[in-house]
Amino acid sequence: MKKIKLTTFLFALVVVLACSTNIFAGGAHVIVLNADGPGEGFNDPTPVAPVGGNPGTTRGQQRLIAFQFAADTWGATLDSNQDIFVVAAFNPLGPNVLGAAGAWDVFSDFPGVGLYPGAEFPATWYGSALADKRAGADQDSTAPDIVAQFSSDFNFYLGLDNNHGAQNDLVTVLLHELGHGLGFQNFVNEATGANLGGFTDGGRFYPVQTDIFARHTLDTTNGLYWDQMTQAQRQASATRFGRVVWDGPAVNAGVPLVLSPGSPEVRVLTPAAIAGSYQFGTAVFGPPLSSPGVTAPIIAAQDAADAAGPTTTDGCTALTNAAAVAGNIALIERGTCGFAVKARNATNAGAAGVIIYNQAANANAAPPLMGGDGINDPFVTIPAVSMTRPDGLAIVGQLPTGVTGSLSLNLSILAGANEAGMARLYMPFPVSGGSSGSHYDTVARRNLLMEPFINGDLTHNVKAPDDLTLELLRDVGWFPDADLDGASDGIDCEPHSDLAATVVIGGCNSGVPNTLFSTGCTISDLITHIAATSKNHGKFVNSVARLSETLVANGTITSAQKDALLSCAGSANIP
Amino acid sequence: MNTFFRRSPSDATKNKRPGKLRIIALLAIAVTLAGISTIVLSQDKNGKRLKTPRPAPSTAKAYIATREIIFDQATQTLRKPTAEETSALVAQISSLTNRSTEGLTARQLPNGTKQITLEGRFGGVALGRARADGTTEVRCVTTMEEAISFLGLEEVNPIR
Repeated sequence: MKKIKLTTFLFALVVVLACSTNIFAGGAHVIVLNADGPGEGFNDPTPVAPVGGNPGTTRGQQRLIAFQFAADTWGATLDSNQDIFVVAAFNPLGPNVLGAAGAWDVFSDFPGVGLYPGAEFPATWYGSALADKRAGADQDSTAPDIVAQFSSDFNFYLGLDNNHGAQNDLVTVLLHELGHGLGFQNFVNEATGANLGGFTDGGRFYPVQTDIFARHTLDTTNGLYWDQMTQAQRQASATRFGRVVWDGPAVNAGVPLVLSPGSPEVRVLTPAAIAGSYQFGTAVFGPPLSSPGVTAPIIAAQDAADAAGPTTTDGCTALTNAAAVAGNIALIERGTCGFAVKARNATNAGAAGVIIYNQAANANAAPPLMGGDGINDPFVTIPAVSMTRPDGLAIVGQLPTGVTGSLSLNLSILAGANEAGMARLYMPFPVSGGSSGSHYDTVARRNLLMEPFINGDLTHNVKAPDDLTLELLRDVGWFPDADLDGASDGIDCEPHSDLAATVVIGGCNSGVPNTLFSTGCTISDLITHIAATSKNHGKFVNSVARLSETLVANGTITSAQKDALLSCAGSANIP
Repeated sequence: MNTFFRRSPSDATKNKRPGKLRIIALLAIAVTLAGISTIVLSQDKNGKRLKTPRPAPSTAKAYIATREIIFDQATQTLRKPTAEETSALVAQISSLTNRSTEGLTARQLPNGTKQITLEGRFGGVALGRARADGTTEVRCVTTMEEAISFLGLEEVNPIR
């Protein structure tokens, strides 16, 4: 094989970049820069039939149109006076890698221009698009905000109508990955707990700093946010399934509008030392968790150590302590025989439920989805769940003094939230496996766009009542700003300001600069407000006169400009 | 009325078009993008352009596939990735899920703004795992460990 000459590749890029698209999308422009070479990816000439509202007639066109559609969706949802540049390509990534996206740069300690607030917190990283939005200025005009590449090997559904059937919807996957690039991501190395930074470049040392996502990531076991933790605490927190939540006003308000009651739970109730919700896997056999479910003591099942199972904890043969297990939750160690065998033996012993925890060989594995064997499955009539080995051993360690637990569908808790109604972030075991703190928890119902599993029932709506992605982006700093004046709509005295360069009254251009004040109102806005509340023309002119005098007094306009305003007000047919 | 002047509306003009400088710089970025996943551009003997991950360094961990995650269209059945496919997959995802700061560049602007260029690291990676019916389960991961867990890859222990 020979390498393509770099100059050839550069030429191809010049051509495709010249053809890149600029998309107007409501409150923000999301500009997709096509980085594919001729004949590939976005430029794939393979003829295809239009599908699902996508009018493209080549595969490349359809990819670009779908990409633009996803970009438009975000552009119509967010407000920014800065273009959001997404450099994108479709590449052959193999059969199992579908795509990737994220922020190209991060920024901290950036000031705002005019009314734009800049960074909310010092020494805090923000993704590029969000930093630009809050600064009201492009932080780096030589770089994109988001980079994305997707698989040209994978057969995505390229329609725009979400009618994807058994295929995977490209638009949904794009919305998800672009969501990360827009701010739904932390910059922590979750395997080590390290914040971003701690290196020297150009002779300057860049210290480790937290990020805006981590500032809202709350561990309910110790009441600390991730920015308040040591590296070791953060590393430990990254695997506390069900106990790490998002704390932000927009998400907190949106949770009850989106999530449904009925949180599937495996919970230890006593002793207090290990009480709480535990990560678990489900089984294809036995009944699902229900309400009120099973609440009972947890008892270690015992059986003979024999050829069927070499330990007394594997539950591979009839339980020898059936009397103790009866009516309670049996605790069995994974291994040697199938899950269904163990669960059937627990059922035969009269258990009300069964927990199967990983054996030593799977010490660092997540709780598995327990498959059946087609033989024992029908005989399992009790709920069965799996658990990690560390969690199982934590229970085992407390058994001498007694452990009570529950396997239930808790109707008092929203699925995907904790008891306080705060959205859970996905922090699964194993430790060595890191986690996906940059996702909502998989137990959420309805399914959310930013869960790690990109489910087939998602809509293209990214906000409540269908989703909670926009709400989280609001919390990290994407404030609504309909007129793009830099003042958040919630505190803007006129969310839809007249931002014309000069003050125009009833069609009369006064020539007076249309000053924007820190309240979010311009002179034109104030005059419009006066017009709306004036009962007659005389009162309107008098009010404009008083406003003009105030503006002269504080040095905003000159006396001559005051006269120009009054002249226009007098001649205007208002009200 | 708060008369504190902040700026004129003309300053709020939206930045709607990439400037020439930006386009040029984006060109360089795009070149880098092609290399984000340590991809080597190459041509096979038929002239078809391929992008294959560079071989993993000799010190890299080796993995074997333990799960059938590829749907073979020819046989309409699931199969495990071959050793070659596994190697390519591992190289791909180890690059895309990179969260180290090694080799990153940074700068500080006169106004105090700090900037780190992530070069494609720290993002989300969408992975697919085929089901027996030919459909695909999609999961977004942010770490290598999550990826190998989802795809059923296991590290080969060189010491038995």
